[in-house]
Amino acid sequence: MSLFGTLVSSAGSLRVFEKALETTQNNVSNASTPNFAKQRLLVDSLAFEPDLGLPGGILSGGLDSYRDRYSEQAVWRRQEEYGLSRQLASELGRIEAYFDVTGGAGIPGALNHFFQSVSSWSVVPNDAAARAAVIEQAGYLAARVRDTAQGLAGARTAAEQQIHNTVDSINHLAGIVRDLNASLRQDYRMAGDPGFDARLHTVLEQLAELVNFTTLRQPDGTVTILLGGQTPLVVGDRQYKIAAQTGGGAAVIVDPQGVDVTAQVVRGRLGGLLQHRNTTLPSYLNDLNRLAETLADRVNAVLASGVDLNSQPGAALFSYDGAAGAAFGLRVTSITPDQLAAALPGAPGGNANVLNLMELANSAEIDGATFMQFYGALARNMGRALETAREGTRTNELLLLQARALRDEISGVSLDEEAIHLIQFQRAYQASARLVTVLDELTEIAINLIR
Amino acid sequence: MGSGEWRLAIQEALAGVAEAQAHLRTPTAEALESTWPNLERATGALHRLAECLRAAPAGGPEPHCALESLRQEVTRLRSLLEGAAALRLGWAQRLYATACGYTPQGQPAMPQVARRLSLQG
Repeated sequence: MSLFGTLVSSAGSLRVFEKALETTQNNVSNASTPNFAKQRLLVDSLAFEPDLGLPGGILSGGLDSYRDRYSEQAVWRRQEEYGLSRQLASELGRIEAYFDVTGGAGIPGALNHFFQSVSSWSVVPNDAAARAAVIEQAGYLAARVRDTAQGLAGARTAAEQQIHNTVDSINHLAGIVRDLNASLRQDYRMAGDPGFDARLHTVLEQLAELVNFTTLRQPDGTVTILLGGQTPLVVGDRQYKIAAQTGGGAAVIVDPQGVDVTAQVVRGRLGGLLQHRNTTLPSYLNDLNRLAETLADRVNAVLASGVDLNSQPGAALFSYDGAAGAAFGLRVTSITPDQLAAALPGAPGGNANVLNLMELANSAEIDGATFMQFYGALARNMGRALETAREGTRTNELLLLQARALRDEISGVSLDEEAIHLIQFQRAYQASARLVTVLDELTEIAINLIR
Repeated sequence: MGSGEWRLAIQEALAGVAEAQAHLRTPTAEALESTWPNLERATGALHRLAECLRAAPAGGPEPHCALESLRQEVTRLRSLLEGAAALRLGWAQRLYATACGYTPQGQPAMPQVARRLSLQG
């Protein structure tokens, strides 16, 4: 092989090694860049046939990314699960204070006080102060029921606002992916840019915390995002914005054509918000309304069956607006202490009707349970749901870390590995550089010899 | 059983489980192997706890709450273990599919190991 051929081969190898070094150094520089996937230089060997003038050596075969689709999707799925349980825990935590289970405050405390005042009234059925105390405690109970209902309604409004905000965030992130797709179409070389790739995957990971989606990589390198695997959010350089509608009975997510796609949102923070707004809160409010309605109806019915101090049929103690939800409008009527019916029609001046009223505290009045038991079950359900969500958050956080560890193992940057690569490349580079130096010197000698 | 004994046993079990959980944040075979001493430690502590409780039962809500916490942590540990296995299995299936394609049923094909029969007379 000629001296010139050897020189060309060595110089070519040197260029490839330089490029490999650049790649490795870029990997190390970006070790802490979020979602950066390391790259490696593919190296092809050249034919070595000295007789035919083929000097051998190596040729750069382009850059290859270590990013792995499976591990990325595993992280996204777990991010979606984490987002869901975290949002549920957060939303349930907001309403936890409204469900006191100690019996000393809130609805259970007010129920206790009301029936205690009825018990005191039964001892002195014609005492004005005892009668006034019953009306006062009834007012307190109604106010606590309204407070709880309004607290839940406030949580519903807050959840709706968050649904709008989350949908805005989803559209914003989808918009970034659309812009990245557009720039990719303008310059296809961006597909090989690790910084571009890292940006795209950072956005997708953020999106996974908000909503469940799938991605499709198109032949031109652009990414298609499908909400719930069905509804397009981004296709190439076009974005399809979703919207939240919260005016009706349930919060709804619609696509640009107005088609309801709510059922496709099952994970992520938006999934958690929708579950809370459309399922959990209505269930609690429904139970609270039933409690208020049944309590008012039963108390009023007992009072109506008795007679007051003037031997008139007993007046109603509670009123409510059924259309708006009994718990929201539960109030004490304009009843006066005299109008409370303590006695039965056959025994005016007695306390038989007050005793009937006292019975309501211990009898199964709603779903086979007392009022207190029914409320207790409601509070326990809420507590269990909150604990499950909090447990889920802790577990899903660990599972997310696990998925990230796998991704890092497969596609991330390991400084140890890169350090080894760097040393390997440095040694190869130094060896080639030494060879080139020797060849350079030999060339000089040869030229001088020719002269 | 003195309250100090069961407390110590549960604390030791919790510590073993917590360390195993920490290992399982990395879903590798090495990490799984690393959990074995921790799990053995937790198992040993629970064995001791069971023996002590059989000898002298402990009452009250405190041991119950402590064991409930342990149960939650063990549940979480199982989730992590299953999560690690799911990730590894998925990854292996992907590798198999890449290397060997898919079966007619759409499952990733398993790599065929070459066999050789050698007879000596």
